Amino acid sequence: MKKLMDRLLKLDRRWTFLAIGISAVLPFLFPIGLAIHPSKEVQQVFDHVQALKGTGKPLVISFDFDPGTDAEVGPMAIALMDHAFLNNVPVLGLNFIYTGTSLAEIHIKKAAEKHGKEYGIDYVFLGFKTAFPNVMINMSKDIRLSFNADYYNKPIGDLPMMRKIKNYDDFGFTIGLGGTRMVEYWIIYGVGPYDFDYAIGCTAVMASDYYPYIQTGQSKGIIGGMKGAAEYEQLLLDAGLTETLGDAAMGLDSQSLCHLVVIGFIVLGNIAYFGEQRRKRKARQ
Amino acid sequence: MWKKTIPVSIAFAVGLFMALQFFVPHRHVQSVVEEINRWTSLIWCAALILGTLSLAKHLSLKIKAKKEGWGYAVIAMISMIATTVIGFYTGIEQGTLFMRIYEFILAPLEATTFSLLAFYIASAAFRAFRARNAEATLLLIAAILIMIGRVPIGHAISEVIPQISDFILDYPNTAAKRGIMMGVGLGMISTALKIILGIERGYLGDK
Repeated sequence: MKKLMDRLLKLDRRWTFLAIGISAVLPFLFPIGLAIHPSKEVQQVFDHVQALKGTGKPLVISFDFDPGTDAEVGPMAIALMDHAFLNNVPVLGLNFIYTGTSLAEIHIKKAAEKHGKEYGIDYVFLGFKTAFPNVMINMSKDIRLSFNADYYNKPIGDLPMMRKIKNYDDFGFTIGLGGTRMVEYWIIYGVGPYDFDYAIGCTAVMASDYYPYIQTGQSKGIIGGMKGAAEYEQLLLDAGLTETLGDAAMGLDSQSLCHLVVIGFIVLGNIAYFGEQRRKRKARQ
Repeated sequence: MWKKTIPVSIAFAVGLFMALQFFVPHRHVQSVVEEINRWTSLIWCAALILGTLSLAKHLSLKIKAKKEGWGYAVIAMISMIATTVIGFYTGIEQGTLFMRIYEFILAPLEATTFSLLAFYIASAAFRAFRARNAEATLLLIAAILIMIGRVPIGHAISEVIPQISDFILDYPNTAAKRGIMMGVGLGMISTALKIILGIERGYLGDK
């Protein structure tokens, strides 16, 4: 027993790396297919996007994530755009994180091509803008104060979709997708002073930070991490809008197993720790 | 006077104006705000240039002095210059060389770095997450319940686990976060007041 405890305490960390590696990869080869139960926070976001159907108002997506968090936040962007495009809701994209601008364009173009949507009519990408607090304040008056042209340098006035959009009053629903605090700045500089419908989509580790905004009503819901994205995919499936689940649902088995492995390591570590403490106490006596 | 009094007076006047304009919706006041916003955007852009130049200076000094890790500085410098030149030359639309660099070099590099976190978190949790005292035990139990309750396997084990996880997030977590947010907010207000009143002069280069 003593030997086992010693071994556990001195366990080479490469074993933990191997265990995590295997638990991350294995479910992709042999899917477990665990049932996904949408949470109320994701359901609320879904309902707000669904309510845009037939209004002609756009779903505004702030793509504030970069490749580092794309695995978690990217599937949210795809699911949200699928939802909007399937309901013929226009999508307006913008971005405040310059390492994510190209990624945002990739996602928007892919989603639009998948649903056969036309640029300038069904969707517009405004691209990156610096000085985000000013942009958010300016958008309360006129979006053109900050964006004269889109990402491709086309004047905004030349885009039919943009003719109906002036300020926050013309936004149907706004969602900030991010792996940084930008999702919160939208509340500080946008929702707080100008009161429009907004929700947060962020990495799982950030989600707990933003729960107070749900209670204040400043965020109409939260899509947290890959699980949140998978729940959104499940809601699309349940609503009959899609026929299959997407990338997030595929990764959720892997995430479940990784969590179990980490918990297993925590428990093992504590067993070894308490065993050692007990031995030390006995030795002292 | 030019180095202290005038900058502090400008900061006082503009700071006070920007705080008060929230309560004055008059069009003349708002048009001044719009103008200030335009100026601020320009300052942000200038800051980007300054940041890039500062990084270039830092890297070149490191290379010149052949400090530890100077090889990485060479790679960073070449990457920065090459990407900028290629971006200006080919444009940044899909299919361009700039976009290929982004898609096939930067994106995998960033994703790899971020995904390594999972391995280090597991290793750190095994070594450091110990129930040493009552507070640590409480944290440990809450963390385990959240970890298991926020993935589908929690539902598969028991319906109660996700409910407990939701309770922790909705009540103790929200209460604590709200307290922290209020503290941060008050701190920001006090710092802003210190700048407006000229007590905090770090932006002038004062130590």
